Amino acid sequence: MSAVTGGHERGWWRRNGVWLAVLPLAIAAAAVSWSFRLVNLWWPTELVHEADSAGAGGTAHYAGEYYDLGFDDPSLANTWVTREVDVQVLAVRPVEGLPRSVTAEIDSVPDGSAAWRIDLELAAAPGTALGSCQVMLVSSDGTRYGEGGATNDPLGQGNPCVPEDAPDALAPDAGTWQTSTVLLTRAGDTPEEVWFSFGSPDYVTLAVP
Amino acid sequence: MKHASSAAPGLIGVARNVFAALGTTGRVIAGLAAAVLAATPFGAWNAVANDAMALTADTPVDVGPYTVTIEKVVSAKALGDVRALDPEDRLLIVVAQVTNTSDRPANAQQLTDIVPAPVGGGVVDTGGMPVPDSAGPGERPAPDRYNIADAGELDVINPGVTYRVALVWNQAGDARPAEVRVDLAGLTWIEEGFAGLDDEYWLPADEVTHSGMFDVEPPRSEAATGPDA
Amino acid sequence: MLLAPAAIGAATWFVTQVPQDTAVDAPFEIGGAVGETVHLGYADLVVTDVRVAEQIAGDGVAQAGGVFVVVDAVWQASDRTIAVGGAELVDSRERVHAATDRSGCATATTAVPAYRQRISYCFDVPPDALDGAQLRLGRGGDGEEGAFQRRDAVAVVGLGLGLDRVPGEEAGADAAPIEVHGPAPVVRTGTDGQEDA
Repeated sequence: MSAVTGGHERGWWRRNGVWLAVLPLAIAAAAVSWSFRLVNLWWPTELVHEADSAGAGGTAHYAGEYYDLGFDDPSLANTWVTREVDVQVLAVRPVEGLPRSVTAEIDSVPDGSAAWRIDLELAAAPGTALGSCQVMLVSSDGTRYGEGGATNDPLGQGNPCVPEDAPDALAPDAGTWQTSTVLLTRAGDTPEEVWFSFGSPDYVTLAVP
Repeated sequence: MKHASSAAPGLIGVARNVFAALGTTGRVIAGLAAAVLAATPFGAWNAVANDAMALTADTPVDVGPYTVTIEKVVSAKALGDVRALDPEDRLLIVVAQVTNTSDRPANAQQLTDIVPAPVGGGVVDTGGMPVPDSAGPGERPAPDRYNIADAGELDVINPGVTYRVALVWNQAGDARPAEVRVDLAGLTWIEEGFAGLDDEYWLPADEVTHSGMFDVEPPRSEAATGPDA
Repeated sequence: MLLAPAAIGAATWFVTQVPQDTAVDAPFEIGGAVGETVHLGYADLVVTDVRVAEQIAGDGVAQAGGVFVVVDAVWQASDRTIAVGGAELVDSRERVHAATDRSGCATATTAVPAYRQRISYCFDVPPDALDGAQLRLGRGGDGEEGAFQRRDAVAVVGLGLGLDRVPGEEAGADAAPIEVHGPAPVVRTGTDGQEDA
C-alpha cells in the first residue's frame, strides 16, 4: 500500500470503490461455478443429509429419493421414487457369539473388537423396496461402524432391514416388522447413536436407548 | 520479365506473364506442379498405403510400451483345457514373447489391440461368423490370452518383465491354411487427452505397422494336452 | 499500489514453476518400515511380512515372469469404511510396478474401523527391481493417481529387499510356492505376524 500521497488525492478505498463492490459478486460467481462438485461429487457419495432424528426409544421417519430400475416393480422402472420407512431402536446390547452364516468370513469376534446386537422395529407401506439398507453404530467421536451394509459384512448377514426368512428385500404385507443385526466395533468403544440409511446422502439418527 | 509491359489485368494476367517469362524447363516444372495441385482433392498427398514393415518370426518389434516377438502360429483342436466355443471348430494360436520396456505398468489387455486376428486363417468371431480378410485391425475379434508358463491369464505386465503368451482365436473347423498373415497394429501415446481429463495412456491406433506371412504349424500332437503345444 | 499486482505476479510465477504432478497434486508421503505401524490419518497400516518366490499358490499356481514379491499388510480404518487400493512397488530406478490379481492375490480391499483387515499384494517384477524396492499404498484405487487418492496421505514402506533374495541366488527365495489368501479380517492377534494390537 503506497503511503499518503497528498491530501487532495482521493483515498485508495474511494478510487477502487467500484472494484471493491464487484469483488463479492465475483467471489459468489466463482463459488456458484464451483458448486457443481458439491452437487455431483460430494452430495451423492457421502452421508450428508440427516432426514430426521429421534431420542432414545423414539421413532425416526426416513424419507429419501432413489432412482428405481424396475427390478422389483417394472411399473416404477426409470423413475425417481421416494422411499419412506419409520424406524425405532428397541435395543442395542453387547453379545458374545456371532450369527451363523455360510457366507461369514469369521466365526468369532476378532481380538480388539466387540460385537453388538441391534434390534429394530420398522414400519413401511407393503412393497416398499428395502435394498441396500444400512444400519450403522456411531460412537461419541463420530466413528461409523457398519457402513456399507450387507455388501461389506464379514459376518455374512443379509440385508439388515428385512426379516430373516423374507423371500425378497421388500416391506412385508404386515406393514410393521422387527429385525436384528450384529455389528462389530472396536473393543471399549460404546455406541451412542444408530444411523439408518439406504445409501448416500440421506440418513436418520436414533439415540441408543 | 521483358514481356511484362504487355500486362493483362488481374491474377490471370499475372500468371500468363509469369508463364511467358519461364523457359522450357520452367514451363515443364510449373506444369507438373499445377498437375499435382489439381490432383489434391483426389488424395495426391495421402501416405502410400500398405507401407507396413516386414514381420518375421523371432524378430523383436517395438510397439507402444512393449517389445513383441512373434514366435509361431499353431492350429490345434485344444490348448490344455481350452477348446473352441463350437466343438466343430479349432483354435488358431499365435505364440509371442512380450516385454514391457517402459517404466510404468502396462495392461496385458493391450496385447489384443497389438496383435489383431491373423488374416487368411479362417478365424471366426464368438458368434461363429467368419471374419472377412478385409476387416481392419480394430474390427477383428479379440483373442483370449494366456501366460504359457502357468496357463493362467495375465492382467498386468510390469516394467522389465518378459512373458511367453498364447493369443487364442476360434478357427473354422474346416480351415486348414498352410500359412496366415500376422499383423501388428500400433499404439499411440496420448500425453494429454481431451480437456486434460484422461492423460498419459496408450491408445490403439488400429493401423497395421508390421505384417508378415507365417507357416501354420500343427500341434506337437493333435491330442495336445499341455499349454505349450 | 504496485504491491498487489507484484504479489499476484509472483504467486502466478511460483505456481507455474512448480511441477503440477510432483508438487501441486502430489500426495503426502509418510515413511515406514516392515513391522511398523504407519499412521495415515484415515487409517493405520502395518506391512507384516515380505516374501519372494517364483511361484504363488492360491486359486491355482501362478508362475512369475520375473519374481513374485508378496507383501502381507494389515489395514484398520480410523473412523469410517474406506476403499484401499492403489498398491505400487517402486524400484530404485523409479520404475513403477503394479500389483496383480493372479492366483489368490488381491489388488484392493475395504478397510473398516471395527477390526484389522489382512491383504496380500503380489507383484511380478524383474529381479533387479528388488534392491531398494519401496511399497506405496494409499486409499482410493487404480494406482497412486487414482480416484480419491491423490492429495491424501500415502504410505511409503521400504521393503528391505536385496539382490540376495532373488530365487536361485545363494540365500535364495522360498523354494516352495508362496501360499496366498484373499483379503479377510484378522481374528487372532499374533497368528498373522501381527505385532501391533
